[in-house]
Amino acid sequence: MPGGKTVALKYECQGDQVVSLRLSGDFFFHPEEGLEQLEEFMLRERLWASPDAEAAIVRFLEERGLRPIGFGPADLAYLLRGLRC
Amino acid sequence: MLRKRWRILRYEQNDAAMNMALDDAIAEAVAYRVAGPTMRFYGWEPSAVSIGRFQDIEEVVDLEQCRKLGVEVVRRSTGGGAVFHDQGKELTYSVICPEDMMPKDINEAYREVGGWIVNALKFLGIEGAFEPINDVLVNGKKISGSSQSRRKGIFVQHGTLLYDLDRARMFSVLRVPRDKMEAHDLDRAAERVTSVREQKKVPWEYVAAAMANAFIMNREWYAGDLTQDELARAEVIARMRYANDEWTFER
Repeated sequence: MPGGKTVALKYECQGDQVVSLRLSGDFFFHPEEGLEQLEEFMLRERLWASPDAEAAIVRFLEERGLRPIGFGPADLAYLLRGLRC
Repeated sequence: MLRKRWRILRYEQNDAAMNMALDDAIAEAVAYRVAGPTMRFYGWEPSAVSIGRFQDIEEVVDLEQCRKLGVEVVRRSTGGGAVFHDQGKELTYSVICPEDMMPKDINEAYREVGGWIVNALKFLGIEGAFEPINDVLVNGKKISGSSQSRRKGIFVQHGTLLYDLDRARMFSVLRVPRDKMEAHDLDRAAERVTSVREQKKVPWEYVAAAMANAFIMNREWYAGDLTQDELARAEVIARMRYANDEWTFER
């Protein structure tokens, strides 16, 4: 990522269903507690199957006043595109 | 105006959980206005690795090697990367104050405090430069990193300045994440850091004095102590959060 930050997406499958999803890395996220909300949102909305995951993430972050530093919605959308069970 | 007067705490060393818990306890005291804005300068006894709030511990720390060397591991409440706090080889600082005393923009606040570290280096005759997002570099090599949070209207930034460097020891406990390994192998990662002593042979006390002077420059301040309430609260937070495996192994 720009600024040399790392962001990784880990997920767990049961059959063909994604049952958990977690972001990790040396990025910043303000407030920190908001990252779990974002993870829950991406899982609940099955954003990997969304045609416009990036816009959905942008809206979610803006509505809740959450701010990632070291990665952006486009990076997450890119990671989600590779998600397969 | 008293609210704007900085309390500077005397240098002390603590274990990893207590070091992190003290920042939280002071932040609470500042939030409840029983303490004013505070700066801490501290060390780690024993040596420890602190990892960022969102890091996968197994990816970034060699836990077995830490056990062998007696190095503690603690998860910070702030983001950012893993840091090896080698006892006596670095100086850690915390800046804790109401949010309105620092730039509103997170990146600007990193730049502001980064500028204080650049000034400290200047006092030592070392030319440093702030490198966004959160680093200070000397000759292109990292000498200082920091991490910031804002909760309940309170700004907390902690960071380190490398005084001395045992690269083999540092990179025996830190693992470089896979994607960073692709760009540069472990030896090159080790070459990307430097220390005050590599740049200039100055005693540790000079570095501590330079940091304190740079941080208090143009600010009202006094030398203060932690209160009994802050200490007691920190002990609870250390036990319940930072020394708790549920927290440490959260990711």
